[in-house]
Amino acid sequence: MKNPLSRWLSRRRDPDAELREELAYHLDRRAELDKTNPTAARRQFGNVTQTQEEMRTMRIPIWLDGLRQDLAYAARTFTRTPGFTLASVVALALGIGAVTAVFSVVDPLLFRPLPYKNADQIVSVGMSAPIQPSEWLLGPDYIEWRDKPSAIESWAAVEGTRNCDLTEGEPVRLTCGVVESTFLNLFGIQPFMGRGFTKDEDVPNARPVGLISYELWQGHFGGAPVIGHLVEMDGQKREVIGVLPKRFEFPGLRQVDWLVPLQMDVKRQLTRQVMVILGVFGRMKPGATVDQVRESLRPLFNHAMDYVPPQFRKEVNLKVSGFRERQVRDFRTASLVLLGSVLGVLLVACANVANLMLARGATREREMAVRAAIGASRTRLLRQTLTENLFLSGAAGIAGVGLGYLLLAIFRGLAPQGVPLLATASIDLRVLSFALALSVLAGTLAGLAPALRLPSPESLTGTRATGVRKDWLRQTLAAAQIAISLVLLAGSGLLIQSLWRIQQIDLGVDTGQILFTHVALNDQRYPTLEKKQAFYLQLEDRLKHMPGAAAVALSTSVPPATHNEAMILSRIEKEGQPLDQRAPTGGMVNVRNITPVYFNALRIPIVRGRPFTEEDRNSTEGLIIVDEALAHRLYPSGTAVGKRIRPGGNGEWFTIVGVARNARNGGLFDSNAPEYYVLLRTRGIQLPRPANGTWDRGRMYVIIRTSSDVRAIAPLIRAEINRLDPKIPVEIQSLDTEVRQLAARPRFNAMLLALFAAIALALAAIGLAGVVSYLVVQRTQELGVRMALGATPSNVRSLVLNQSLKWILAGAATGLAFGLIATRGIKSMLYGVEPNDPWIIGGVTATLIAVGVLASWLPARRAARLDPMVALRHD
Amino acid sequence: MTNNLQGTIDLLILKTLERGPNHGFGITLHIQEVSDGLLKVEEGSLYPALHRLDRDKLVDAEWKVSENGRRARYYKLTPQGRQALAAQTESWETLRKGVKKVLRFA
Repeated sequence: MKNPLSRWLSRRRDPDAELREELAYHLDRRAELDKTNPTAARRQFGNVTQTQEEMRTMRIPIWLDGLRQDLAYAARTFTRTPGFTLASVVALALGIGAVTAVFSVVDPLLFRPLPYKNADQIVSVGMSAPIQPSEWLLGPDYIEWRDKPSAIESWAAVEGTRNCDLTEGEPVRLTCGVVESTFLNLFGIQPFMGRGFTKDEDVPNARPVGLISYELWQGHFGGAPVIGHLVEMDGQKREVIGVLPKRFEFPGLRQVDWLVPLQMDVKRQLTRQVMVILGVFGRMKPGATVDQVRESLRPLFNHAMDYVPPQFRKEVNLKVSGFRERQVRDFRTASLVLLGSVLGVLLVACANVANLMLARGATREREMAVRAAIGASRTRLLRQTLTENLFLSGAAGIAGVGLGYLLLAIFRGLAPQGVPLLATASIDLRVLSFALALSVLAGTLAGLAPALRLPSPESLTGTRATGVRKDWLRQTLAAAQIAISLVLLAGSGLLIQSLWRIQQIDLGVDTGQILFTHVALNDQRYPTLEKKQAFYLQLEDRLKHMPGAAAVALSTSVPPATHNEAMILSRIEKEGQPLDQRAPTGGMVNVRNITPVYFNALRIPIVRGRPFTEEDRNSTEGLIIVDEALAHRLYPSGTAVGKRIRPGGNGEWFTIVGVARNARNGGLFDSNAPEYYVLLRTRGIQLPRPANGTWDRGRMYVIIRTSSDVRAIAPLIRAEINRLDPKIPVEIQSLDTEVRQLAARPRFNAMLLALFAAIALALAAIGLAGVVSYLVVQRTQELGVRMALGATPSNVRSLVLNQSLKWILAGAATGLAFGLIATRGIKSMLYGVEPNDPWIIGGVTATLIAVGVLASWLPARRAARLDPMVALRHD
Repeated sequence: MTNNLQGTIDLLILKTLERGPNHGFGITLHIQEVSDGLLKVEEGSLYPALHRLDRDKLVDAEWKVSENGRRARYYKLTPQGRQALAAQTESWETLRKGVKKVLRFA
């Protein structure tokens, strides 16, 4: 411990005070020695203040001192012109903020290293077919590929994700990722705590174990010790052996709460009776390329094709892709488009500020010339200008990052499902450094034009001889802003049009007042078909008598979302017409098992024949309703009603009792599949899936049309379900919300692009107005002469307008050319509208020109109102 | 004599500090005393010189209690300062010899 004296001595103080103290000591000692007073000592010393000033400059290196001067000077200049400063900072901050926010969202998708070890060595392999374009592999094929030599050194298969329920305490619906035991090793993922799966845990009927996500551990288990604990999942005790690391990314970027072993039955798979569909990943041997992997797998693929019916073979391809490509496939275009559009906004902002700076540079020309004349070097002036720019962009960068936080929050509010990983996107150090680099770049870019201007000696004369020589630059910048805005407007116009089209899609069902919930029964608590059926029938009965329930239906799926069961069209046997074993697939047919109320609840009209009745539910005969599309495909000429069909070509025959109006079943965007509805009968008959019309899956949706407020009835539904079984987690959704969520991504993209286009347009308009006013000021004298010689105000106005119109049109034409190229890049994001839709492109161009003319109108009007006498005297 | 030759004051300061840490006033007194009053440091340029030497890391500054019990800023020679002193002494000697020869010859 230092003594108080030395602490007092060593404490940091105001450096100026130290200088004063040091000199005061000297002066006092001098006075003491010479036996005079301090004033005399001071006189003898010389100029104390000047000495202090000299000492002060010694404290900082020379270049830094220059910077200090520049900064101080810049700060003074900026406070003298607050309007200019504010405009520049706001414009740049808008650009930087938008880029920062979007970058923080797309960075993990596009640029950031994936959170796996050597992720560039991981490939996704499998077959692709029109019905499932992303790579997949059948269980037996995977087993064979895995054990044969190829350019892949280690493998892992994933069965994807499925719903799983936490059935203890407060029941919760969770998502399970089902993976082979090699999964964590292949991806180089270290559990946050605990361990990964062993091979022994990955065989059929092994003791159930699983890893939980960090988020589930923190959230549901409150971060308490969990390793080794038994947790009841789907009615079965499962041991927690590990916790996944934070921000674990499952392939496909889906959120998973549990990771459970695949437990594939190898022997059973190899019989090819029941086959599991897998996503397969491999780590390439060192030095191998994706192409080499593809070639090394070719023989295995050809062998696998032997099991594929010949008529399907040409529809199936071998597909090998890099892991990142696989991971972000669906989001890449949208991410790039968003990033491109914000960079466009930033460019507009830079052009805008460059123009503002040029304008200010013009008014400061004399000042610069004076400084040059009294000895400031060219580099010194250049440095001064650049310092000022960096000062501006620094301020804009800070404001921009703040704006970035705000925008990110807005993005999340707009569409939580808009982009994967949006919820975890954050402005971290990496994004901040990016924003910083961006600010410096933007500042330099914006300041380049004015900085390179040499002050001309003529400026010293005080005349306006140096008139309009840099005007082409200013007008080019204005035109460039218009061009970029046009591209952004065209893009957002197309996306908005797509969104509108999406919202106009005829779903074929009435989604209003519809609630639905997925009720899953596990095999532990409901081991038999009878038990499951009894539960659902009892639930149906209870819900039917609930106040506010107008119609209650049971169904194996809910339109218009996908992941339904499906049947190959050419495998549906028509009575009297044996299956053609060599027929091509003919596409997929959607299959739904339902109760009779389904059509009534969703308001799907039966256009021919009759609907199912309640009495039909006790029928021993198989009954089926097809939609118009399937009726047409099966019986192109003639009637479907009364005919009998046998999906799969074996088992029970089903009689078609009616034809229903088409309802969407492929989500909002994919093309619609034909569909048939099988009646859920009380006396279920076990048939091969998916055509069975039975209850054996233990997964059923309850669809309820209510006559009252949907929010009021949801708790009643939950209560009814939990009265029957308190261990079933209940999530009640409204069909309207569900449909809105299906459009979340296009809505997110459209709204963001529209927002950025609006910012760009506003900046461009302000910029244009600024340039035109500047030109008017420049030409004041000339305009005065013209007016004195007889030009009318409208002559003057059109003179100014014509000049700016020329540049508006030039910008619009450039933008149009670029826009037509750029919009082709977003083709995959469009729905029901072509990238070069003449109405959109034309409308956008017209809007832009109109805005441009409007922006020029105000300064033009001011020019027309000039008093010639004043104008002539303008210096 | 007041000395305006660039670098000379640095040399005098460094040489003085070779004897041990001292404050500005002490340096003034010392130079005056040992030169028998022939050299009188201009006080107004002593302090900027000290701070420049400090900036260039030839001396180190530290606040200490002085002989009269007040706080004073003491300067101390750094290893670099010692090197600079040697180099400057040598170049001064060369200069001195050169000038002397020229004067004698003329």
